[in-house]
Amino acid sequence: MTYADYEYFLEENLTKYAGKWVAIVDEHVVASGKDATLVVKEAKAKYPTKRPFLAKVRNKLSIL
Amino acid sequence: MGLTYKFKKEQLQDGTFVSRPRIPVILHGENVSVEVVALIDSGCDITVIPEDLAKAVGLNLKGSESTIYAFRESSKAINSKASLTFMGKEKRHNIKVQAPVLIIKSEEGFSDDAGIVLGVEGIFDKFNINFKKTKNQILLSPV
Repeated sequence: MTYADYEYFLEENLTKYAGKWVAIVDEHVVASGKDATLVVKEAKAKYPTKRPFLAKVRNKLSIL
Repeated sequence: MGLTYKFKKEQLQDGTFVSRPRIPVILHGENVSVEVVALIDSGCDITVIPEDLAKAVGLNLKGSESTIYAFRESSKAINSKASLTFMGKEKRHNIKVQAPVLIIKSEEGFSDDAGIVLGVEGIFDKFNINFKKTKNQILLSPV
């Protein structure tokens, strides 16, 4: 259970990853890139027993 | 046992802040399961998943095609199904559901920043959802 990774994503300043997908495991960014499939593969290769938290870091936000 | 979440505070381009009902869910695919953030949207008929994310976990992309309309724009989408686990603060509180989804196709020049949008069909009939903005709470009670 990695609810903490969700909270890490909410709180942490991840602007250096803007426009990229990030995989977070145990409150650390373990993979990032433009291709979500590759990011997941890299995270699972590094942490095969963990379930990564995956999110795309937004470039600019606007009203929905 | 219900699930309780907080609104996610996000900064807009003009510097102002908005609070959005984004919650953590586990998206299960053929290849892998990942945890993602999903926006609860009662104005969306069905759950929408970006193609990038659908491919990453291995959702079925062979369904019939649809067109999804939002405001004045339209996008191509694929009808599919997905299993989602709504995450509680402890694993024993997790609730897994299967819902129809539209996988929105990636388009040149457009970003899939919005992530998963949890729409009415298949979600709102499995949970009573209560937004308590003044208390910064989103409550999901299984039906």
